[in-house]
Amino acid sequence: MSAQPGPHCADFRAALIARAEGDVVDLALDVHLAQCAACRRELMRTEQRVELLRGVSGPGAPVELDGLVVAAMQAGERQQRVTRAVQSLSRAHTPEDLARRLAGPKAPRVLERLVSEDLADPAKALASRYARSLGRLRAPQDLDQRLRDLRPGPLQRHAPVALVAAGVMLALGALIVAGILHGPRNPALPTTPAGPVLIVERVDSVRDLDPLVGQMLSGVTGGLADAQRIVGKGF
Amino acid sequence: MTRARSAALALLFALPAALSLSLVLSLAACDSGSQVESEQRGDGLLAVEHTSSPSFLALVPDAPERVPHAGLRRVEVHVDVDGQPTSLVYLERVTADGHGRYAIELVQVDQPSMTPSQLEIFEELQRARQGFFFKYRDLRIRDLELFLQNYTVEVLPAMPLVAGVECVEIDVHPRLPRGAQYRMAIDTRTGLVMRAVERDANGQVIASSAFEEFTPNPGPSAAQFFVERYPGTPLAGAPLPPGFVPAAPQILPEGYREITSDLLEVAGDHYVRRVYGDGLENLFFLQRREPPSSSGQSAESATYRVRLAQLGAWRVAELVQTRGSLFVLAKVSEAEVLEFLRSAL
Repeated sequence: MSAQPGPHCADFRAALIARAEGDVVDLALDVHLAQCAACRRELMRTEQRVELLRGVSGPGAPVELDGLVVAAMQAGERQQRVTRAVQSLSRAHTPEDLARRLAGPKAPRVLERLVSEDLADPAKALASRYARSLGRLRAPQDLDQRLRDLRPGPLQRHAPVALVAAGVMLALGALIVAGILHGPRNPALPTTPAGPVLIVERVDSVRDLDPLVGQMLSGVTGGLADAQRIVGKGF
Repeated sequence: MTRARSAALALLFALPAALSLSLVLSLAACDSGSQVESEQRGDGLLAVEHTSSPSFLALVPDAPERVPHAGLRRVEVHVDVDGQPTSLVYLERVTADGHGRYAIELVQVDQPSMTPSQLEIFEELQRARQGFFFKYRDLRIRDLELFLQNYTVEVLPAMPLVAGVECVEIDVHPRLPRGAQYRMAIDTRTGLVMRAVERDANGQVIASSAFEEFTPNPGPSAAQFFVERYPGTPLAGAPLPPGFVPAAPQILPEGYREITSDLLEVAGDHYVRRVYGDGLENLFFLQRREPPSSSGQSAESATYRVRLAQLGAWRVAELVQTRGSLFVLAKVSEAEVLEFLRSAL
């Protein structure tokens, strides 16, 4: 194994990039990676870069878009006809591999949801937007006073909060007693308070992890991960 | 006001009720825990307790290194990969001189089907892993005391012949609900595990190894004994590279204990390798020192990104940070892996 790039590393540069982008079968590269720590690290870095590029979000929608959508909706029947025509188009499926390679900037989810809602019921969306755009008027003083008289007292207002607090205390009590009776899980070691936060990402394939992980897994499974890679069945 | 009074009453009764309920539940849990340790069974099998384990079990932990032997062994591994059953089946020749030297050579691969050039590559990779296979892949009792704390043993009445060697067969069940079940045929004179089968919670075989030919005391061998290229230095007292702080997990999966901690230097790369065990299974923890320019979360960060994957019973996790990437590989629950990893930060 070597940590510094060797004389042959440059020969594998293109294959390494192809592997990072998802190319699976390359026996020569497998053998080289098994022997060259520098290229394993380079593969990991390249995979991280590819992943970062795939995750780049698109530019935000311009603030004028809201008004433009309303104006477009107000175009009336013609807009609805177009919408229906678009909705009636049959969906063509993108090959999975192509979709993965071409995964580029995407619209923010919130924009996708808003557009979907608008397309689902244009009349309702238009009415909703119109209502939200109306200015607020202050209620007459006597009406305000009548409403104030009807409001519940402090105890009534806090009753739901008290119920929630009771529930929380019930759960806490149960946890405390369970903790006292059972003690730490592994008495040989001290327990630590809640520490750093881990954001967990589950990956489907071991190939998505550091090459070192693949080697470790191959060791404990008698070489299974390597065998599958060698015969081109992934990992 | 009626609603408010009800809420106040609920609040007053909540804590005592919770305390009472928790007490009952906890006592019930304690009681069921004590029943785990069974003793004599009515079906003729002997359930082994810590104090009454068969003497041959004590021979098992160091038998592969201590007993001179050679033989042909069939190894099988079966896992689901992306929902597809996937198998690796091969024959290997094992040779041990009884003084700690050994060799494991690939003889033939039955599954998956390989071309000669593929086989050549696989053979090369297997050759490089002999040490790991000998120490960690093969199922055996590694620490008898720890093993008996974490597993129950049933001695089966049948005494099978494995490659011509009469064995005692035992069933091994984890005391914790970890799902796996094991059956081992052991040569009681030497302690060698002649056949081992591991099943998942559904009873499906997920791994096995069995001698098909066996020669005790083979005499001088033509086998090329394995030489560890990167033996590592015990971490305690090892010279650490500047700025490299070994991570030390504080919360282990229940039943596990640290077995070894080494510092490895592989062509300029530094690794801390810690192996934990429960007497039978292993947990591997690896910390790789990253170069200063490496991208990763800073040591001061309170939030870390962990990537998790699963292969059969094995769970693997990786975490990249500037202090060094951390890797965990174990047959324990996802929650245990994460708790273990978090306690190393």
